[in-house]
Amino acid sequence: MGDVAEKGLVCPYHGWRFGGDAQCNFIPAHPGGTPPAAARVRPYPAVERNGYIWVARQDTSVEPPSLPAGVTPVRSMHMPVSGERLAGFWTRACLHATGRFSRVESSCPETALFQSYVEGSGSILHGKWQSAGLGVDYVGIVQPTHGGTCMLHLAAQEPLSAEARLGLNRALVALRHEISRSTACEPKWGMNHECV
Amino acid sequence: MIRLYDYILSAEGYKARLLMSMLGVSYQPVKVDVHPGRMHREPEFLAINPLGTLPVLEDGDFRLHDAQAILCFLAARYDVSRRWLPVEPEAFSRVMMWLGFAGREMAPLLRLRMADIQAAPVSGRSVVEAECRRALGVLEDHVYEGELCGRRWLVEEHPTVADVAAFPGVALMADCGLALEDYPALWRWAHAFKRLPGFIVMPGVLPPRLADALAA
Amino acid sequence: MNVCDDPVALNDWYVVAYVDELGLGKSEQTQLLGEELELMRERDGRFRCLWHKRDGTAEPLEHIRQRYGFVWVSLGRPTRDILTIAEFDDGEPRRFIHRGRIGVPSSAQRVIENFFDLSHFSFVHTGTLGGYDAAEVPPYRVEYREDGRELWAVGCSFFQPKASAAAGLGTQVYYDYRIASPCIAIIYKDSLVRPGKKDLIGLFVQPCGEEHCTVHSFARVFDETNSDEHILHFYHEIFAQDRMILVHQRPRKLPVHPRQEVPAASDASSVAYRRWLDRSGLQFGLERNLT
Repeated sequence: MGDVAEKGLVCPYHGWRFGGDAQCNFIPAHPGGTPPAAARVRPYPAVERNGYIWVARQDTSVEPPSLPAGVTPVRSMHMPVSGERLAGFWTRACLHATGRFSRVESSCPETALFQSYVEGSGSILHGKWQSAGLGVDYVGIVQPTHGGTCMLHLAAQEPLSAEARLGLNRALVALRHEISRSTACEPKWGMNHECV
Repeated sequence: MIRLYDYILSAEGYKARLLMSMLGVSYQPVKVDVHPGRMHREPEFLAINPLGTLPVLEDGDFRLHDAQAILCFLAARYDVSRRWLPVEPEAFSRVMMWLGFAGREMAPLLRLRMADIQAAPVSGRSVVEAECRRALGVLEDHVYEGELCGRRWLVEEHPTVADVAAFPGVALMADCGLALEDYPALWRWAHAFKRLPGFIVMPGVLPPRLADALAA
Repeated sequence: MNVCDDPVALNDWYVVAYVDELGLGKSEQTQLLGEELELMRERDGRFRCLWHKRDGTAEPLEHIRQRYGFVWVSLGRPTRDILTIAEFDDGEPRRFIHRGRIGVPSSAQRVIENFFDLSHFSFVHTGTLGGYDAAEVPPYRVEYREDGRELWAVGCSFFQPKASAAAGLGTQVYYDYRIASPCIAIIYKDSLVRPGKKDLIGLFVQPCGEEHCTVHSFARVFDETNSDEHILHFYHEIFAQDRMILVHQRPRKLPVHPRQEVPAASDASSVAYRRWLDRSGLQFGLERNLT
């Protein structure tokens, strides 16, 4: 919810401003004063690698999982299931029109330190996506988010054409539709159309 | 002077308020006691709009309800640039398609939000939330594919009334417990929308550029 | 959450409805302190309430009252009466506005703490209760009254561009806040229509669960020019701006661990409120672990 300012991050509640050292450096209610040392937020280690921001839940000397140098982010998509369930869906889908994901599951121990927000452990899926002459080696980084759901960050292992990018994205969209259909609380199409 | 029957917390009313601000059109608000008074369901208001919905616009003798229709009227009458509601058939029709989406597919989200704000019971909440997420997922996919083609907005290379109609549901989803963080493309689109000239907030929408205001 | 373990919560009075919200012969399901209640209005206008217990029995609530236009219940044995608000009987021509129930997905105590916070006026209520260019919070006093049973923040002041629906130009406004119990707070605010008199805005928060509540509220204000709708919309704008903050606060329960406090002088009333809650022995809605 915060806003980025020249001298830090501004909280929209009381306007407190926090510097990159996680220390509050300005309190608008007391503009002439110095914020107390206790006015600080808890920082988390963060690094930028391969076009992604990696966050650790605690201080660590372990590096984020290594990805190929040419890794190209394609899509970050929220999935209505946990990372574990997502892995289960990954190759089950029969997606003729949009191609097939083949998968070699990889659960890197070091990613256990790179959990995001709540529960579960992250994992990395990788394999090859193929559709009608197009083939893309991909990497899928699973970020557990909230309430047993996750964000899937899909990347190609090397730069890819616009056509391949579009195709890969559409395959992921089709997979998400498949997951939504399979999960219990998804209504059948037409239930929410009051004018039908 | 245009009159707009409205309620300060109405997301549908916000659609009209947004476009009028962006077009520089003045209006007189007619404040309706939706909650707790439920005056929008009383005979006096039903005589104005038999559906009992807000907003309702009056421009002289002309009266119109339905937020999407109001957006079309405002653009058709007051937008000299002809950009907010394109005239070319394909672009026009795409705008209609997304106006229909905003009015129909996003309705569950706006209703859930109002129920939560008014502390009204919601039955089958998980089903309603799944409907909301399905619609938001479709919108997210569309905005993302637009980004791939270099198109920021829903239909054209500039914003149209389709963007105005979709914005309130996206900007206010936290009011009913949904997370905009789950929709990174919509986050970027909303960020850009908030920086359009004439943008205004409503309660529940954070102002853009808070940091700039503090620095001033 | 086992309510019987928290006698402080159990033995208090709580609003569960505004009288006119329930028509004659109607009933509604509601929740209080995690328990299921059925509130009924008889044909003669009187209210009854059934507590649908987890063992399947339904106990009629003995402690049910109407006061100030609202329906109050207790699940336990209250040791004191419902608070007294003298301004309801003082004969002054204030208008009564029922502000409507609002649902908030956080604990009641989070709502109360936000209600008496001044430091957010300039950011959350920019243009009405505060402005970016005048965010400084002058000192005020914290007091304990009624033998420590009530917490007051007295002599609060702030420059407000539009302090009320009736306000014209921006002006310095003085406030007293009364926190009569963990879930009840009343603002006594300078009237800009009747100098020397106070307007009242009150929150009676119904703690449905530990992490969600229903906020019942009213205003008793001097206003000779504005319609009820105009005044209502003014208050709804302000409350919904607060709600936008409340829905994002974590934990949803109010932290009362001493090490969670950050001592800025303007937060004196929040610090006092949290310590007052901590000392009371109240559990429901409070987060006592260090998060």
